[in-house]
Amino acid sequence: MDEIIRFDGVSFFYGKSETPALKNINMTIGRGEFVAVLGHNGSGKSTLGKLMNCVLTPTEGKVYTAGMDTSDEANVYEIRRRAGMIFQNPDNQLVATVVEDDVAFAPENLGLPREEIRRRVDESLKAVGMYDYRDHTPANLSGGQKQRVAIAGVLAMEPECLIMDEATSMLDPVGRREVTAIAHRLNEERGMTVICITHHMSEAVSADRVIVLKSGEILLDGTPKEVFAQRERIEESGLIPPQPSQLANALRDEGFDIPAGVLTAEECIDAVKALLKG
Amino acid sequence: MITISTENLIHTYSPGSPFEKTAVDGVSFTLTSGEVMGVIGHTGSGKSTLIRHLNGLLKPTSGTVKVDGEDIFAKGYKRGKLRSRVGLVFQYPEYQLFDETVEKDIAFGPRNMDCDDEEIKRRVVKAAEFAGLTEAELKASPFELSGGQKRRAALAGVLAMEPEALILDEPAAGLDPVSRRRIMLDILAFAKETNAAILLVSHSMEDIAAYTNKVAVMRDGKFVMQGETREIFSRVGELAEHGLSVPQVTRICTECGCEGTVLTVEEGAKALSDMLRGCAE
Repeated sequence: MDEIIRFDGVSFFYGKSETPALKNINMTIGRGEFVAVLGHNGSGKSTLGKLMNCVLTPTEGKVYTAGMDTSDEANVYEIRRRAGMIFQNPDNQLVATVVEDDVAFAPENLGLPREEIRRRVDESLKAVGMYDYRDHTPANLSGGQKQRVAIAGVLAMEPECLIMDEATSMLDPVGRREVTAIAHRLNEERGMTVICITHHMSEAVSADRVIVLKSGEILLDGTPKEVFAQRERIEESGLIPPQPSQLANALRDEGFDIPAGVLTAEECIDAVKALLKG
Repeated sequence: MITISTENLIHTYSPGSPFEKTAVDGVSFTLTSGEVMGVIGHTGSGKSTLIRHLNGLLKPTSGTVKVDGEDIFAKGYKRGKLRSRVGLVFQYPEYQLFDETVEKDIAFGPRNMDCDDEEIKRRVVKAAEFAGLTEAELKASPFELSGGQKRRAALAGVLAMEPEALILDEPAAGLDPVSRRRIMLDILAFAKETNAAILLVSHSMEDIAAYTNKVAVMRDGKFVMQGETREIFSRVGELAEHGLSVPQVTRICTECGCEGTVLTVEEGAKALSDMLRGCAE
């Protein structure tokens, strides 16, 4: 698979801290992958994301985004255009007083012609389902709508990669569903690479791949089924599996013949019903 | 003992202006010592506006807020004292940490309540114990701590005032699952030992189901559902109409044909095991 992100022996230290936030990370992310990054508070998840688009640069080792070295300042603008980032607080990332102006901010800064800006703003707002709100003021939108506008702002740069750093943690369940659905659609329809840094196991379940960090190191890396099957290591990393997995595990501990790797409510219901028919 | 009650509470922002908005629209409820009440509802449903009335931070446009039967907005009522009886923990309370050490930060509340040094010391130790803070963490600067530690330090600052009621707005938001569970269990341990009344605002149906004994569903400023937790989560269709879901474990057990409404993984495992054993016999 064509790679979009590569970490070569990356370590990162904040300021004069002697404990690394990340230790010798080696990994690649392929173009078009939907990757969830999990880990306890302070595990280095956000640091990992910030290293991908030059918010931070490695203390040791190299990060390559779209083939470009993030440590080379000449690459910063191009990398940020190709890998856009959405943060936790929807109120901290909208700059304009009108939705469409906010989305136009990046393409304006790219110095694009007027018609091209118009096209990108309209397309991006349509892609996140916020076109009808183009002349609204962001302050009057819900949290989920604000995050969708923030995503539209990133899309207007026509990036290859979307990095979401706990982008749903301040949203209510409806807002979370809206934002997660948009990310999946961009991934499926446009082949956009999505890196979703999250505490929500439900978001990890629907990813192609899950990376679990613990104290700055990669503890697990695989499909959601492979990762959540490692019960001891999941617990050791400060995570709690999704409820259907917990329930299936508890039933297996009781001696029932429930298959390993149950992740969703549907899988759990099917497994129990199969036993009931027995 | 403390009893907080509201009667037909209405709060309208910017009345008479074009931006007039009624955020709380006729809410009545009672919360008393020993109860853990959950409030659920979407962003913008009025939850935060509501809870700011309960220790007198906001004044209702109409209706009343009573503590132990006394109207807290009546003339001559000492609201200053109320603030230490009803502790309010806002979202992301760690942003409010400010002192040199965690210990001093926790001591801020009791010091302002004119406690003497010995009493302050006792309260800090006790609050730190509830919040699971170690000696080393107490001596550290709040800014050297991890997210989960900071949150617990901020919580300890409120617990040190030994409130009789604790109002919490998303106390676990942004925490990893283990820290999340831990802070919730800390809060419950405090409530149990001191017989405090707890009001928990949360978007997590799992937490509300597992930790509360009564629930109110808020929508457009109104309490549209109110009742005992198990009863509320049995009304799946009605919750769905308000855009809310039940915990996954509740749904799994219902669809597998378990009787009653299951609220936690432990209950679910027991209900399903019993059912599976029953049908094997």
